[in-house]
Amino acid sequence: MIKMRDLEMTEGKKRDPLKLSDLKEVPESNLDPALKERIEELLCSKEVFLFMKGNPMAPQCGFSANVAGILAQERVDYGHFDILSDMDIRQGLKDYSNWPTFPQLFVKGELVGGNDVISELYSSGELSEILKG
Amino acid sequence: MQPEEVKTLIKGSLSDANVDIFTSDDNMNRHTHYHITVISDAFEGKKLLDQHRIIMDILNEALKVQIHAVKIKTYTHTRAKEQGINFDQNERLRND
Repeated sequence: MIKMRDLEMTEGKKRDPLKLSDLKEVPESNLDPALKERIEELLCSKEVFLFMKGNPMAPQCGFSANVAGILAQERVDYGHFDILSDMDIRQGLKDYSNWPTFPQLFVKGELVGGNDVISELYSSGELSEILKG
Repeated sequence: MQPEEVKTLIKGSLSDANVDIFTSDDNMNRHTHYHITVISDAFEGKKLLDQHRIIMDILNEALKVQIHAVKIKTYTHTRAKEQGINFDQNERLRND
């Protein structure tokens, strides 16, 4: 469980929003351009962005809860989006990132990983470095 | 899909791979969760996500397995040696 106290301590260093040009060029896909734009708008809103089931206060899946918990431990300021609230984003993001499961953690618009990868990077200490950008 | 078949599939794509697979049950008592460990130099110098993508792509194309029921662990041969991981001498089907 994530405690309120942990969340309040995530102020960390505040970051400037990204520009669209900061995002990695995504290979051609049949993703609807308007949907792609919505996804990129979300990714630009914070350098660290988590697509999850539920939200950090009330995660709706154990894997999402785990990654939100790790980010709280890392004291990182991040944006998040509940994919259960929007089926278009839920499906579109799978195409955008070419990754089939949630949660998905992005840093500077680039997918770092889902629960397995993030947990392993956290255990090895590499995640802190990646989150610094 | 039997674990042995999955192992053959991965070795078919990554010829230097040592592969260890064990399955665990879901709450319906079906062997649906695959825990896959692969040692291969194909992972050398790649980000962890891209290492996992290599295995996901192999599984994706050949089978329509439930990807969320797969847990992947990847090592290069050098890294596996450092960590003392060598399951070629001990290829029992782990489910203990």
